[in-house]
Amino acid sequence: MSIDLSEIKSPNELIMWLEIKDINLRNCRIDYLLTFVWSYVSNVWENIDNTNFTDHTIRHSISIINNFLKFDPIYEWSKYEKLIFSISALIHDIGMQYNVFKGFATKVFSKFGKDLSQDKIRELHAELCYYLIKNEIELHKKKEFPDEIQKRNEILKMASQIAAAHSGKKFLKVLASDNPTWIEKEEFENFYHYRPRLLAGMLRICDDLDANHNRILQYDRIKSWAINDISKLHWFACIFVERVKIEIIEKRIAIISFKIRVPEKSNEHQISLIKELLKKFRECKLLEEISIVDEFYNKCNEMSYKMTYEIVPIAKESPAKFEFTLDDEYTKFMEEKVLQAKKIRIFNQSDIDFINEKNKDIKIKKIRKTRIISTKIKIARYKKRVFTLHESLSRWLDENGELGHFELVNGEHTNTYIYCRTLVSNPDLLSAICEHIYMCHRNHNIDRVLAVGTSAIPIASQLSYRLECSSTFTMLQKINKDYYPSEVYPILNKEENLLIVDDVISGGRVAKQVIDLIENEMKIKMGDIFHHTIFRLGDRAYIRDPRIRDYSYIEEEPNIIYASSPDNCPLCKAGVPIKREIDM
Amino acid sequence: MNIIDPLKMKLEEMVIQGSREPLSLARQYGTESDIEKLAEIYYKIRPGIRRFIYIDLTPFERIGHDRIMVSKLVKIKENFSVIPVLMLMDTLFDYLSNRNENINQLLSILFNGKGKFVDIRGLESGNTKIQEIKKQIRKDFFVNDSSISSNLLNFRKIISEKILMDNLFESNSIEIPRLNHSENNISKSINFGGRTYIIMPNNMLVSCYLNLKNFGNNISFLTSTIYEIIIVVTEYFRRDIDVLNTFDCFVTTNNTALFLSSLLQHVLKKPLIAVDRLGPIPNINIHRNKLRKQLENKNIILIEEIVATGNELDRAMLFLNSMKTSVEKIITLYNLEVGRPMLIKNNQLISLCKPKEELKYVYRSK
Repeated sequence: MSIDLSEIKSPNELIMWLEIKDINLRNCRIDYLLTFVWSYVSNVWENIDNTNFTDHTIRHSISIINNFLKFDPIYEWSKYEKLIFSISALIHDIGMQYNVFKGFATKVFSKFGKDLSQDKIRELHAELCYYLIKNEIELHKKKEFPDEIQKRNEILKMASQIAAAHSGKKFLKVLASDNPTWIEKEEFENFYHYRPRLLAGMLRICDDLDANHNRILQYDRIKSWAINDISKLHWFACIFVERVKIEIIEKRIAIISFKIRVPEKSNEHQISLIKELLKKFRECKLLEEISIVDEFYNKCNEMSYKMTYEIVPIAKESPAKFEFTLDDEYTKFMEEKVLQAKKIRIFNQSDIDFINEKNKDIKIKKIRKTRIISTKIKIARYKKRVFTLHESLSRWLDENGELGHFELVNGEHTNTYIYCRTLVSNPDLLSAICEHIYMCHRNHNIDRVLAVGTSAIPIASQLSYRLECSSTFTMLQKINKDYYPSEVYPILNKEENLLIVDDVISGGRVAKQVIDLIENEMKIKMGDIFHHTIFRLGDRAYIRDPRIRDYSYIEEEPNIIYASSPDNCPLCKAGVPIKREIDM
Repeated sequence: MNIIDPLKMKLEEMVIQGSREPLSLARQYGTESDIEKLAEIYYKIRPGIRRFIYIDLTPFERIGHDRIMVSKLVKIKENFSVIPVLMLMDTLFDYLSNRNENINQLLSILFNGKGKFVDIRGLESGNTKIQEIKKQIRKDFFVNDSSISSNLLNFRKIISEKILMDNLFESNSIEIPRLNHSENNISKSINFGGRTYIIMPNNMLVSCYLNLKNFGNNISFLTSTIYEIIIVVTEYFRRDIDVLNTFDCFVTTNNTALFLSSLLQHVLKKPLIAVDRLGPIPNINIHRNKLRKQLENKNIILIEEIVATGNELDRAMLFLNSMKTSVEKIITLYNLEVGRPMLIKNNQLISLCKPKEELKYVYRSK
């Protein structure tokens, strides 16, 4: 049945289109249920604040539902399944606008944090959707609420589980962990028969199938550098697709074909790039989705459905053309990102192992090797490892520590010179350090952050934002063959809580000198004093003032030799030539 | 000239919240609280003689809650009698005007991707007040000067100059010589030729001293400084080329510049390399190898806080040249114009503020 999707503008039109008006939900009216979901979702998409993604509005959801209905000859969707799937399709991407939620979603914020980045949102959006809906359900969970709301919540919960499975690993939980109870249910309540695994898999497939140029609302924005590389690839993978056609033959074969379009003045190289892009970022992903859903689904149920897929290669005939310039900059971008990229992988080996394990549990035959799944496409995407701050700093120290025999400005000896200036030239590491220090001192009512030395300056500057306080710095200057901190300017003008930030502490002499300078020479009374360093080498012998609270991030580093004076330095005794920090 | 920079406000908010990608998030403008804040700031501004306020929305490619924002601004215009003038990219205007009929009740200045003035839209009536405002806008943006390649960037230069000048005064960063100097005035002073000067460590005399460390007293000074640098680095978020890919890192050659610009690396995700000890006799021995590793064959942007005689800049250029570093741009916050660096190419130096005339700045020997 062909229908103009733009005509579906209200929940009632959706009900008519799906032909589910007479569905029996006992004490919950179908129009009440869908109106609630529709207005909830419309509200999100009407007022978006994250504009760097492709179109995920209700239009996209309706297209997904349309794709879903095209598979009806194979799966013969029940009314209940149509309803659950439609709600899942409507809500599945609301996590993409996570930052717009507030107030009532505080529980979700406390779990994931506020103002997530584009990448984080993309990565977590399915999960975020699940928790946002869960939060909504919990708000209306009380017993005194009428039955209609209870039933609504029940359906919303099912739909949110399916929506959560449309991207990422949550998929496995729904697909693999749920018991196929629907078969039992069917015997008792025919109307409530639904296949959660199949619906979850279909949502993934139908979502992928709606990747075409209609998802791009402003072509010119593809040039924007505000859109990061991952998003750009998504935009490109949509913009060149004229349409995706789904054809069902013999009630068992789904033929999926792409029609691509290329910019009018494209050369052969650019056209081949576009084809490569779509092959890697659309076709391969879709194939993998289809194969894993199909494999798993067929083994998880006792129904007699069979489904075979025949993916027609990207159209070889003259593609549709459109007005868009693929200039050198973006040809280069595509060359870099597309040609070098391996085929996209959704699941890695551990995921497959997990599925296999679950398959065994529910006594399912071994996955056939002849299919497209894991055996043919080797799933070996390396997950980017996330290092802890401690690991990052240790790795940095391995690469940047200078080995030898050094005399520091305070007269102490060590075998490792930590050249911290390269540390602060690393934006991500610097941010992580600042975040750590902020977490330590956020409740200390810090009035001013004082950086000691060049390396600490960027830390103090960034920390002043996080702690919403002032910042300044001091340098060491030579006075009578010894080194002292220069003036602390601007001069502290009230009893302030001070946070002193330094890169390395050994004896703690510099910290003591700073405090002496402020209190004894500048005659300024201070409040609480906190002293925070990244690395600790020595015994902090100079810091004995009980008012000073000292923090170091890396307390002990094996292999670092430290001696408070030449007399007890093993390197001096071994006659290792010495380098003085002051001459460096 | 009154201007509201929503991106600057949002950027500061994002950094305070500890966002890992503050600029990217700040450019996703248009939450309900953003619009509330915009309205709040709008009411706080005293418009003076001009009865309009610029709202710079050009860094944004889409705006969330756009219908709410437009209707709010229309309401403000009706109640406050000060007209909001939106600065917008032409493509964003097309998008907004398709969704908001009300946008024609506001004045919008449109620019193309290169920052070139395109048109003024909205409030088409024959009202003389509106005509007067449009005339003033054309003047502010040098519309009749065909030699200008980016009207937006030229307009921003004037704004930068004003903001940085205001920062100097508001942060008390101008140290004026006093013969009976107080404890707070630690510099030595001398009366010479009828004028009081500060004696600098090199025995030269200056009529005043800019102590930019004072910017650290309030994060809003740091934010506005960083924001002006970001504008220059990104060439006002121009769309036709990816400006951020034209260089590898930032370099500063003294601690105050490092202090003022250190947030740049967090915001733009480009490393900031601190080089110092470049005094008349460079003293960087072992550090040289580390720096060479960081700087060799790199395209960099050099950030200076103040250029006076230009000597420090020349020393930095000599050093960077020895490291085989290519200097794409030199951005200085304040150029006191008492000398000229000799080793830089034409148009390589971008001075955001030239306060010499306003401060009546003198740099001299005895």
